[in-house]
Amino acid sequence: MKITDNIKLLSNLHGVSGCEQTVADEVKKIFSQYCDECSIDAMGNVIGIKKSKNPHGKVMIEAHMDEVGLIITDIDEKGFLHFSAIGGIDARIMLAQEVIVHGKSRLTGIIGAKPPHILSAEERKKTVPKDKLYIDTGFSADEIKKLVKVGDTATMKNKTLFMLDGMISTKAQDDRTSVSAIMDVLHQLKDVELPFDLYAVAAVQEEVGLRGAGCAAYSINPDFAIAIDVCHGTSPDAKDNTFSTGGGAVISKGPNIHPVLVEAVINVMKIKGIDYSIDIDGGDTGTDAAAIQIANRGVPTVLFSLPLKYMHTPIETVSEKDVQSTANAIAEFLKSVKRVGDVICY
Amino acid sequence: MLLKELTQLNGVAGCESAVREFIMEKIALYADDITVDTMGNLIAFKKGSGKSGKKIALCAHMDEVGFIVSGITDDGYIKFKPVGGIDERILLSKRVTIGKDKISGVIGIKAVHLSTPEEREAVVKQKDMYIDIGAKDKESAEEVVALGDYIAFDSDYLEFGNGKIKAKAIDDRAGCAILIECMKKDYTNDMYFCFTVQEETGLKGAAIVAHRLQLDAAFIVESTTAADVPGLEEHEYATSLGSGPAITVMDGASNSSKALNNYIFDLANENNIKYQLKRTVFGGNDARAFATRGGACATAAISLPCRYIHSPVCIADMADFELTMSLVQAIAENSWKLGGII
Repeated sequence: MKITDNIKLLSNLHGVSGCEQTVADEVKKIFSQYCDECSIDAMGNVIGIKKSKNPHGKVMIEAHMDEVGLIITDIDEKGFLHFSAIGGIDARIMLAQEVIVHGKSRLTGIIGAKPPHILSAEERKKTVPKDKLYIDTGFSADEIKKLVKVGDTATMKNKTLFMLDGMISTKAQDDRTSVSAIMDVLHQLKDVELPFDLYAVAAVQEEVGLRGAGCAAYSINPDFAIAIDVCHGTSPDAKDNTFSTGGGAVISKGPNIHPVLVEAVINVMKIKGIDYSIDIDGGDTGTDAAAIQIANRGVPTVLFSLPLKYMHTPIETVSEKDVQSTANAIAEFLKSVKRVGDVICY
Repeated sequence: MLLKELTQLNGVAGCESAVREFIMEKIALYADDITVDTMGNLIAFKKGSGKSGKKIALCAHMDEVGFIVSGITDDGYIKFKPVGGIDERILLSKRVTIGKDKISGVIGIKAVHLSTPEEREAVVKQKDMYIDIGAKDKESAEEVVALGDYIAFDSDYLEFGNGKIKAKAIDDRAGCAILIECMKKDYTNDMYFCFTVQEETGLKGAAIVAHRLQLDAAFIVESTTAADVPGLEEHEYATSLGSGPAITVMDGASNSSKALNNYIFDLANENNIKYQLKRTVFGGNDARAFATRGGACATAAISLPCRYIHSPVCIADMADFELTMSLVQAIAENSWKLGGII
């Protein structure tokens, strides 16, 4: 199993927040290869359990599988679709973008707006706001109304690019590439007998408010959790507070993160010679780690992040090396844990 | 399918060789003479079966809009300049291919999360953009990309909707496809088929073709803006998809010959070919070069309406394409009559 195969497989699936079923089914299939049990809960979270023969604790590793996208709000008299955003979408990237409309069948659409020749000089300097954009499906109003209804969703059309120096560019890597990292962790632990039950979670609805992971953490009630999400990769226009792609794993510190657990993880990365950087968040991390930390009676939580350029666009770009380093760090750490209490007790 | 094959080729203005070679192969059997001139224009001549009257040409341009590599940064990103007129609002987050080896790249933009409200509302200037090819540094990038490499949009050909197609470079590979098909038939009059270069950078190729051929009439087979979209009044549409080929009366660059236009309208009516008039006076095409250079000749433009023209996602209507083909075919078949018209 290659990490890049799973990245391509998962990013090619479509599952905007609240509509993750297709992704969940595929993730469940793969988790099931490594887990003794695998199920999908009431919210849609995929939960796989790799059981221990003699468990004295529960550990959860988590990433979210939803993606940002669009929801259809109106079909006009000429058949053009109008929409709202699901999750944070940058209006600047939308023009001339290809989308897939999830109606009765999958339809290609093109995002358009008033053409430039009709705009004033002033208008040409301004980003077209989302409510002035529309989706052109190439159908008339009568035809499209039979295929698409208000409330249907749309996602970015995808093409996975394997670029120079191990960089991969595709949509929905936030956060499905982290789900691929979890799959790699499971693969690395395939023949390893752990002293705890390991719960692998692919959560829903992170992009609309960290909804799935908290519920999963509540029902699992783990002794500690490792969340994986993405952080901002360095690009020419984003050099401050970002992380160089290809630099290895990124692990967070701050109030959202359990101080004992994080030191235990860092210690293993040092011993195993895994490249890593530290991301500092003064408040919560804005990731599922924030929801997991306060689930139930509280869950000691750490957060890994994959440096990702152009977040929430169809060209999200990561380094294969960083995904592998992150998977290696988590697998090595889990192998090193003899008793869960050792890594979380103050 | 010709249009699919043609739109998948890269031929940014100044770098049309892949398109020219493809066309040469397709027309070799049907041409009596083929000339490639100093700029790369492809001129095919087809001898007529009858007594030849006027010197007539059908013309389409091979080039497309795109970019050219103008710099490589220390951290391995590609800086670029536009080749032809491209709306900078459509560029962010699009895929491109660079050079003959078609190196994949993406036009990046820092995440919305990292942008200020002012940044989110302002259009990013093209000169501030960069292409990410994954290179870890300048040295790595320079192994596959060089200054002056041409850059094209990366967009597949797709049939969708109710008989629509989506592709890059429909402007003007649609015209090239129509000319290739027309060359397969025999005509009474001698015919020139001109596949020009560098239309998008200022009608450059057509200018020297006009000098070389000294034509009596040139019919420009083009693609033109369709703005039949939300936010516009119907009189602002320019052209509409599904209403057939668009005939130009005048645009910002030239006026069509009234005699040629009447000839076209009559042929369309006789053959029951639906057509529309282009309802704006902006823009321009190779007609200007033929109308003003090389002694000047009568010109007319027959265009395939195209939404989101000069973008990776041009949309055209296949029925319009077929009708445009039929009309151009009729123009060629009846061209022996032009002696009495112009």
